[in-house]
Amino acid sequence: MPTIVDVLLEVNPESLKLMRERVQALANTEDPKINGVASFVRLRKIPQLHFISMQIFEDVHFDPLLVLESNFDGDSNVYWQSVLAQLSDDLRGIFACTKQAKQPKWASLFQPGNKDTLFPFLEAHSCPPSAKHFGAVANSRERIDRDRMVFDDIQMELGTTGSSYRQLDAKGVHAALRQWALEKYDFLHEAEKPTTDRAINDYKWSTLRPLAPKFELMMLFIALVFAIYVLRECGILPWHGMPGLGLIFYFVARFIVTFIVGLMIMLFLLALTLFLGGIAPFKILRHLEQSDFTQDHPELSPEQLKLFASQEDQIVQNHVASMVLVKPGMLRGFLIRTALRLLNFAVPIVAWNGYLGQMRTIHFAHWTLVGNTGRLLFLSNFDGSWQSYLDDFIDKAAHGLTLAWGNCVGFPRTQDLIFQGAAHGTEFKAWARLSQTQNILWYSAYWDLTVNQIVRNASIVDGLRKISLEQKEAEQWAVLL
Amino acid sequence: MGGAALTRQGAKQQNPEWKPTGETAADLQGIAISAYPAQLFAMLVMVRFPASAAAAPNAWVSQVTPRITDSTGAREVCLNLAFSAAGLAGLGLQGNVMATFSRPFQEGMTTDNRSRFLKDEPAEWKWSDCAANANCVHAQLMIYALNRNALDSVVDAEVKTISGFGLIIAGQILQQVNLDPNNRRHEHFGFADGISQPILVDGEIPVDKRGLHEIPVGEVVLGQINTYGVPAPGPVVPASPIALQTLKPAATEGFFDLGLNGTYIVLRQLRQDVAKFWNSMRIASADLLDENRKPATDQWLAQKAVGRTLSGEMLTPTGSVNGNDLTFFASDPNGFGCPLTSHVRRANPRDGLAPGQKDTQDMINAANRHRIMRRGRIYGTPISDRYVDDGVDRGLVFLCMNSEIERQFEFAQHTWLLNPMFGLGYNEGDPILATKCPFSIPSKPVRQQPIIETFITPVGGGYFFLPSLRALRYLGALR
Repeated sequence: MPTIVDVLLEVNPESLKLMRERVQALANTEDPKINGVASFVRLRKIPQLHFISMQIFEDVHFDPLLVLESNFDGDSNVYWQSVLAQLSDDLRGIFACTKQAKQPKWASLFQPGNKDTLFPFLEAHSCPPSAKHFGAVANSRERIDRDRMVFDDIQMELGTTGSSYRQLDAKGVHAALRQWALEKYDFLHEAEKPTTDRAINDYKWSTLRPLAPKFELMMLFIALVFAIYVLRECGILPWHGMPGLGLIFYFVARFIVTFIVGLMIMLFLLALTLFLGGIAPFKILRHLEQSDFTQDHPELSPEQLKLFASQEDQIVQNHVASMVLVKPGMLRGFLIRTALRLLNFAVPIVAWNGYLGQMRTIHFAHWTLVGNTGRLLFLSNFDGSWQSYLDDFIDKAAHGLTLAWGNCVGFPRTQDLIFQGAAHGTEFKAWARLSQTQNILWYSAYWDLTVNQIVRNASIVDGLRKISLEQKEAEQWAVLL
Repeated sequence: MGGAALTRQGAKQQNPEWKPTGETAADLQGIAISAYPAQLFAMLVMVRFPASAAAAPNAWVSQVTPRITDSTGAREVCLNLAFSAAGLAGLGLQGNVMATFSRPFQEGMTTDNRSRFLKDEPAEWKWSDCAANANCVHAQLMIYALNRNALDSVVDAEVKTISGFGLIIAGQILQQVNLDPNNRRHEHFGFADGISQPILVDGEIPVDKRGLHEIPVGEVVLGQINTYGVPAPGPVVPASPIALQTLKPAATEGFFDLGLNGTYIVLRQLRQDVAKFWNSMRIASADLLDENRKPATDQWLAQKAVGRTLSGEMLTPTGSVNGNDLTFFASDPNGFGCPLTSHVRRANPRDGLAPGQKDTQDMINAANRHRIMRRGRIYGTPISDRYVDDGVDRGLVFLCMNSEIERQFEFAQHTWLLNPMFGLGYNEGDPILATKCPFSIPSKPVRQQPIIETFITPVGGGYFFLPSLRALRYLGALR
């Protein structure tokens, strides 16, 4: 399963200009935007990396905040070592402009000439996402690169006409291409680790699995209740005297009935408490939703929009970095934490195949609560234009977005946490644009692949691994070629 | 076949088409609701406002406004008038007012970022909406008439009037209609055109009660209810005696509604090299096989590229069907009939990109947020032998209307038509609009993928604002 980590560092206001220059210098070295000049030479050498970005959020209420976003495979320790092997000096210069670098604990790291590793500093300021989403969760960077090569080779092999393969039926095409591939690729002779199904399953249950030990606790509780019951029935425990020893069946039946009735009474009481306890907050929420001030037509600077336009749509993917203020108050703070936890819990279970609603255009996206729930950061790497991404949100995932962003300042008016909100298309788009900051550095390890294409390539390779396919299966597989 | 492919939406009772009445009908320019089917002859008169003191664009607008066709009924000659952002500035609209127009309209079609987005190369264009260019067009006078003589005499008179006000004719494009025996219009490559159009319906009708092609009227007409259930946003002007006299008050206190019953027009002059197109189809189809495993013809390949037969029937895996009620998910999920990346599927994917049956309705609803109302016509005479170049300049004047250029025209162009990864495409382009690219034709047992070259070249284009009659009176009186 991929990992998402943000390094969040407060910028020394006096050093802001210098930091911008240093991040920009890094971006320029990595991506000189000159035809024929190889770009991202060093970032390409980080084998686990999918997407990385750097941006500085400025806000009249806070000192600027540097956000280093990383989406990568596996362990963060290994990842950071790979990053530092390439970018240590650049990062040291950039981090030196932060407030944290001036703290006694870290200051020595940023003394001129210091060559100590930045790893502890990075670890200390890393922040896991509050809620996240993956588009092609089963596909490591290594797999993505490898499967793309297979796809390209197959296209060459098939040519414009389908070559000699067009004389066969779908099963025959599979068999012949498998033979061709087995001779060409060594990796097909070894098992896929993990398999696509396994990787998806791991992800799908990733939020439920940690709850499993609690099931054991529950079993222990049931056993305890049963023991007390038996002891009581046997008269060993002092209170209550029931008829003497009966059939085991009788005990078990009585136990089950007592347990279920007891459980139902408990659940009823719990529900009643929650309901009664919930009415007041719900009424407050309703009142807040109706009376909170909103920003219907936020002023967007034409210069800023031009800058966004000049940066976007260079490759098939785009990047969004947004920061918004969370609405004040205890209830809003509680709600946003609960909402993000709920999303974090539910997304793997409902969107394990990468689809949010009907769209599978997001490679990596996440929300992170910043500064003790004061602000909400959103970072996303997605396919297609900003306009189409936002329209997808509005058309196909408005409820989830409203749940996540509805507790933030200026968001279009919501109803019952998930309704309206993002469905106010025009206002939502303006709000989203206003909250956005331009990245200074952004790198995608596979700039011409959509999520759909990654999954397609992987499915083709998964098919090649199968010794033979049923007719129907073979036809479905051949459609992918 | 067609019946089986209907989704529940296609089978639903259609709502009546929206028709303007009363004040609205007298305010809305006719082209917004009518393609003028009887007026077979058309002229696009492009007007430039020179900077000289002798030029009197406002006076011209005042003079021509009474002849502009509204939506109250049939006319023999129809005149409609639209302005580029540069044109409106030339009429005296100030920066604060210009800032209330749609952003793409303000910026124009040919800014660097937009050209990259739309994959255009406007440096070569004959005309544009770009104020900085010498070839900038400020106003488009669209004239439609029943016959050529009538058209010529109206054009002569209008051109004289325009010149009389010190304005310059930047160009004229004579357009015509190429009708087949079934009264269907054909474009120069020979395909029936303009078959799939959205149907404007009352904006109050909820989305789950709308038919397959029905969209709220506010998707085209500004100030009417749009797809988000609010009046389509349009430009406003600060209160002034002229505004008070001519315009309706805007929703915002202190402003008057310049946009109400107006719309944005996207114009693109697309040159078509018919002989090169058909000869390249001949070469590209050489080694391909059709569905019956017989050697494919150039016509087979061209039809696959478009997704329809020459006569306009939609391709399906079991033959072509008439009409426009087809949805792709049920009838052709893998594109064995109508290829997944063909022109018609890109231009309106309907439910073709749905991941599952349960998603089809949502996908149709989502696709319908990006529809445009097309009013294009061909220019130049049709070719007599489609394989032999006769040197005639011909093509299509693509003209469409929408209330939000970014969400409608630009979205369709970028996310659907020219998206290299649309459908199951991989670095492809629209097989009709893109210059040269691979085109995947789903076939059995495996896809065929010829390289297609279509020879359609944009040679001019821009964004224009089609004001209401009230707004025209305001603009005329501005100075």
